[in-house]
Amino acid sequence: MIETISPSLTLVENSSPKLISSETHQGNSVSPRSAITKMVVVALLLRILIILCFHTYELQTRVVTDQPSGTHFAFGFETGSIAGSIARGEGFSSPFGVSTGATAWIAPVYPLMCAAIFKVFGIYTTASAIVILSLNSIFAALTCIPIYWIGKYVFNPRVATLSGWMWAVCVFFMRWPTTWIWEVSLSALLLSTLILLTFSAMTQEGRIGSIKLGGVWGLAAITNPSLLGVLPFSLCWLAVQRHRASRDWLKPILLTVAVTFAITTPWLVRNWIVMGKPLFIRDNFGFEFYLGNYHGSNGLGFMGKHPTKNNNQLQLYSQLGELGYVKHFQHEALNFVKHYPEEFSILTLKRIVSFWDGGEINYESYVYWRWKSWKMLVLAVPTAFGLLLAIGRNRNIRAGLLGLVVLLYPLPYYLAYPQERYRHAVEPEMLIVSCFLACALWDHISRGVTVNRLDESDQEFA
Amino acid sequence: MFGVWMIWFLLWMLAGAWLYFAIFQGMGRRSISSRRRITLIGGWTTFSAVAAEVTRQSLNGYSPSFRLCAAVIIAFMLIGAAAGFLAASFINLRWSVSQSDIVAGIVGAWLAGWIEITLSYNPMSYVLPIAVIGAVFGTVATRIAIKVRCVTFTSDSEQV
Repeated sequence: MIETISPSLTLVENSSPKLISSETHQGNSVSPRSAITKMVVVALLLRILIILCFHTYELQTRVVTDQPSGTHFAFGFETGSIAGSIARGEGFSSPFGVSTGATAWIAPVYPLMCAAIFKVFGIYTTASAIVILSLNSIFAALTCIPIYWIGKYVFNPRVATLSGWMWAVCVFFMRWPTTWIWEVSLSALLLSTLILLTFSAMTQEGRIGSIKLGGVWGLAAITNPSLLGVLPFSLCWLAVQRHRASRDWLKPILLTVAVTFAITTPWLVRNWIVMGKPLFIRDNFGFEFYLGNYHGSNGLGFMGKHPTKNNNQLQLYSQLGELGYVKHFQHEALNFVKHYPEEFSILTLKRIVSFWDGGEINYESYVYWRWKSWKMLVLAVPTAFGLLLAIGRNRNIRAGLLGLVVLLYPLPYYLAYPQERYRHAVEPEMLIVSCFLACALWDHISRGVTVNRLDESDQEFA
Repeated sequence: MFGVWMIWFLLWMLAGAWLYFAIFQGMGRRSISSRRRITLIGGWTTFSAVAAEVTRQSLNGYSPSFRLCAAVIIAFMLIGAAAGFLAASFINLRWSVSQSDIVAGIVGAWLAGWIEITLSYNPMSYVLPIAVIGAVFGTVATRIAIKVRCVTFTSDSEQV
């Protein structure tokens, strides 16, 4: 089936993004490669400018004296603390700023990156802060590439260009890479790359596509395991699409899963050996689940019960050890669910609403670059309308994958607790769908204006 | 308390179904168009949910007055009708709408307003804009669901 995506460009259905990339816009001298390069460069420069002009690195290097988690805990929180331990030669340990032994509290990739930077530029130094925030900015700038190709593949070049430029220049998307030492920007880059590779794997024959997809899934798993929530659904979507196109679907899916597992295995083995029992990538979900789920909770994760803020909790953590501590609170949380199922259901519904309408922002302590909750709606509302139009009205199957990812990625946060930064991983996809809506509305209005003008000229002629 | 909510919800739903059959049998009409059926069922489901929630709140000790509930429901109805009318006019690019657009707008405003009041941590000032958004979403979703013929709104920006 031949489908038209613009008057000047046609493509065969299910053609891969790679095939599209060889196309150029007729009547438009700017090639996609050149446009994307400009987006990436502008995105990076603007983010670096924010870091240097607003001295956001000083937020990391400030000395904290009123918390039990040490004076440098503001530098990347658990990530920074573990990275510092690695750089000092103490291994992957001590997530709360004081020496507490081996840990699997968070996934390994980002702390290892930070540790490498600490080795070169010094532990908790201003230079390290600038380099890490710049690295975040590089991840954020590179996200323009999958955004452009997803926009083009799912919708058209106009949506792709608009989405890419919006990501590059909108200050809204610059907060996390420039102020927060965490894997937020890397997660956004990985998830959008995964979506692009899934589209690519729809049509690819041979093993390369599956190996690439599995490789990036593996990297995503050991960077941010929350992304794995999307894995089964996206692979099912891929299997259905390949089956519908009468292509082999079982072997590629199995290969993808095998490669993903192979990449995560060394970390799982390390956890087994070092922590003394088989664990998945990180072990703290039980505790995070408890922070959002206890009798009388508001469901938004009370940080007053966290070892980084509460000395008694830190002492309990040291006393029980990480596994004992998490097991204790997981037991408490499951008891709560068992005894108060209605309260748990209502808290879960409140968390779902808060994730999308930003209500939890009203309960967050003021740190810096404070948002009002309506800013979360600015992207959430057009995303909802864009998905409705693309999937409901136009039966766009590819937009279906974007919808799946946007709706299902937050599942762990619906159960534990939401925070505004958690949404950043799916903001590229939300932006693409929002830009599609903007283009559709523009077409609708301009078409209406044209029709009205024709009507007026007809009347004049009559 | 969830059980109480569900009991009230089912009671309201059954009452709605009974009324539905009683009225239409009384009118001597055996059939009703699918579009009207969808909007009626949607409207009554939302109303039942709101009624059940008000009952639950009352049993919890917080009992909003009847006047307050009525005022809020009527206000949302007016907001939803206006937003549904404007959304449909925008889609049609002229001042012409169908009955289902208005009803969908009302249902959308009720549902979104109810969710924002009962489940959100945002201030009450957010309820009005959210209700308007819900009304517009309800109108667009209903048009898509029941395939009302739109003049346009299939954009060139869509490839499929």
